Amino acid sequence: MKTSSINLAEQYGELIELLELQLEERISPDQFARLEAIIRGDSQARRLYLEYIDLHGMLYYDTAAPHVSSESVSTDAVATDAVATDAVATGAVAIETPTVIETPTVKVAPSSGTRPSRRRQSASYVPAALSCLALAAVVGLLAIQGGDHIEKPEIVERPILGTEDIAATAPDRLPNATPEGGRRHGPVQINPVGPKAPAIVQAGSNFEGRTIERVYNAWEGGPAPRATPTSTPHVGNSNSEIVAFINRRIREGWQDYEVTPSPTSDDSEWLRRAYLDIVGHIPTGEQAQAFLTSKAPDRRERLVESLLDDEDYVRNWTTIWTNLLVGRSNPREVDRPALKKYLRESFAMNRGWDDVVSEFISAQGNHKENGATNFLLAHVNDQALPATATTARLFLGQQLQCIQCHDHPFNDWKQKKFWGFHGFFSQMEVESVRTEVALVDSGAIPEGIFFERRNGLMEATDPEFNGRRFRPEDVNDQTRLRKELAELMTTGETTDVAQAFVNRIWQHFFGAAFTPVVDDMGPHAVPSHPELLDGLTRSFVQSGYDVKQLIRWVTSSEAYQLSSQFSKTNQIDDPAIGQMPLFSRVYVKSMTVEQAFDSVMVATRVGDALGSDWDAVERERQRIQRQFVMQWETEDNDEADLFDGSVPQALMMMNSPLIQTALDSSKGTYIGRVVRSNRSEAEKIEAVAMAALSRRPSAGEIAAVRQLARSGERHPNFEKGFSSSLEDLFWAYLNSNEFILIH
Amino acid sequence: MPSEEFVQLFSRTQRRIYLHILGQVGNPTDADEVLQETNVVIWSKFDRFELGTNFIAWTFQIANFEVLKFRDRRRSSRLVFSEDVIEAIAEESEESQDDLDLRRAALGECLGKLRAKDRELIQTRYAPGNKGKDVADVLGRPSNSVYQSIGRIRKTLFECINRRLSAEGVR
Repeated sequence: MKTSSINLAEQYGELIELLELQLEERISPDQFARLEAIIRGDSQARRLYLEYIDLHGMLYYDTAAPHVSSESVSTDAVATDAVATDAVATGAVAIETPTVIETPTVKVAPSSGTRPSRRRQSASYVPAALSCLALAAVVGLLAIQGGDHIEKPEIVERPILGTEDIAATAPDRLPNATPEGGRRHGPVQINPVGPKAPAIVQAGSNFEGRTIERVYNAWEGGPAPRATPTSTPHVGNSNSEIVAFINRRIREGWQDYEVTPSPTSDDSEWLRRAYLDIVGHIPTGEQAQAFLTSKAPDRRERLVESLLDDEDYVRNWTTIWTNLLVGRSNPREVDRPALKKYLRESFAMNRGWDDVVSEFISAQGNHKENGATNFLLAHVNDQALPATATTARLFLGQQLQCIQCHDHPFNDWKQKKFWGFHGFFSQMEVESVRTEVALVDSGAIPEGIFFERRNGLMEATDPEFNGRRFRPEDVNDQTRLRKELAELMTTGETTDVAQAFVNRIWQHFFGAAFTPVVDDMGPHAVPSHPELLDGLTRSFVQSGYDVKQLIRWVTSSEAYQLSSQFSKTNQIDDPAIGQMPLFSRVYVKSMTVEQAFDSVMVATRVGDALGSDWDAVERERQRIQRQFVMQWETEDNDEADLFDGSVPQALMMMNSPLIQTALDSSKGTYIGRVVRSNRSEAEKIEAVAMAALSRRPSAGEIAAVRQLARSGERHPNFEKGFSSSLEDLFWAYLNSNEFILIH
Repeated sequence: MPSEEFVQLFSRTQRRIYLHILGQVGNPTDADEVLQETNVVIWSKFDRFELGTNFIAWTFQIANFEVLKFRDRRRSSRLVFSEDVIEAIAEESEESQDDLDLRRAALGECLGKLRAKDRELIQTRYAPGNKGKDVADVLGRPSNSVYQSIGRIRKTLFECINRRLSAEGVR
């Protein structure tokens, strides 16, 4: 691409400015003459002119049709992260358009280094309600523990008045603010396996000469050739057999690669993880207390059972799938409440995933009455091409979008496959009358799906999926192509629908999928554990696509019980640097913005503080979420990752007046109740630790709080000083990596 | 009657023809006009097109000719390019189709990366019939600042596309 490297601002700055005038029809004849002169003699300039006006024309021609995000949900796939980040890094900087709306509280700092990282944010904080003095004390007080792991609440300063560029100072001031969004542990950032390892991480800076495939889709040091299981694995039918099968396959990986798994996580680490993974928020202090004092040998299984029955299970998965299906920024035609209602019912009734998917693909009718229609309605723009691509990506784990225009460069997928798949959506039409929108099948089936090859020649195909082709003579007026497709997709002992779902669930719980990109499972993406993926997929199909059952298997596996901390013996097991995951530990995940917000709600009982003014809580939730969606949408299409779970972002959230209220012990808040209760000092400290971190306070933390209270620094009166120190402790806990990461 | 295949070809290539024309005339509404005239010619000559040959090349020829006719009608205007420049642009455009296609494909994604409010602004700007000035009126903001914002967003999109393409330079 000759022009790609052109630095807009420098070489052709004048041309661009003239073009801007031209595009807005503000150009004077003299300026126009100048424009002409520039492009007359310079083919490079002419090219740039064309590219620029082409962009204008595209926007004009498509009237900036609602964008269908192709977000790759790759919380764990740094491969995509690095590339995507790189791809838009400058974009992200420039996207900071300060003129439009005021109060951008967080912005992206210009990245100047070799490896642009979206984690380099600068943040400007609004004034915190709490005293700034406190921070100095707390910092001194709690900077007690050092070490390699996240298990230490590092104290982050309370926000300071005015604006401040955290990015510039971050490494010093936020010692463990996990610059990689919490995906690494502690300060150890060194490539543990020598020179060959970090190809993917480095990809952002310099991957010229690498193939895309390499960067996107390959595990570094991944499995050699055993791409597809040679025979159907023997799994067994009972739940215990299936769990044993998972354990066996995972252990084989440990042996092959000579790693020793991390020790089993302690109950509080595991409890917190299970809550966040299954119901989307941390447990309350009381729930944590109850679990930690339980001696029942099957307490973990029981907890999973009760969480699966919790109404927040339904809410959590509804949120996750709503965001996946239509994104957080709502496309025009979509009736979000109706979609959510459909999902809520599906998850509450634990409908088979095959049914749910079938319904999304074949849904007809009014978008308010049939919530399932909203998925396709969100993607019907641009001749429904996005519907094709998104359906394939979300439900089949296949990224077909690039073979829309050309054959896949790295595997044998042909353009024809895309158009054959697309053909199933050709009957679909949108009827809209005022605000009422309906998705219908008009009944007319086109004779042949035409597409243009890159050489300009046309080719034709018919609707075709997995070898089943619908030629004109195979269809009649009664044929409903989308129904046929749904049927084809969900029939068989193993299906891509099941496989894609298993991969996604696995990623959700372990922080890494079997493939580098969770929804890119095409022939080029070799899974880390092919037999396991295959076996689990078959079991899932056999269970009737039972979502809760799949979660039971996954959460009862040996691997899910492990700690997230690694040791020397399994350092190499780090998909964050592109290594093939061995699941010898549970990888640390960042909270989503929903998880973070809901967890702060649970910890602080904001609802109680407001006298159960739930509307206020809901408004605040939406306000905060909007803030993050707007600000992070620019950087990565992975909307689920907008909130990167870093401490600066969490801090921003904490600056909400609502949360400040909740942290104030003088009102009827949780912390206020703890302070005023008859409990002993130690018990009070424990209550705070339980509420925030679901664990008992360390001896060091207890001693530090006491010492601070006794010092009279916070208040000459010990009682008051102690209360105030408790508040500080609570605040410090909530701002720690330990709080904001799922580990 | 034109064959089904011809109709398909025609409808699938409209945007490319439009963009090809736009480069030469430099203004979306003028490009609309020339496209209409080009289409009239395409339809009247459908029987001269041989299926299996390059449809785009054929229509581009027609379009180029219509652009020159348009240029002739507007010769008194000081806001149209000279013939030699138009021809140079047409040639550049024909040569760049492949790359431009890739850029077009990348645009959607880049739009998705905009902040919601920026995307909203660009959508308003390009809503049917709107110009920068109208957006300023709608938003009640000084038109200069709106022009500036829109320009900045366009440049952002442009850079984003550049980056996407250089990232995928191997394609």
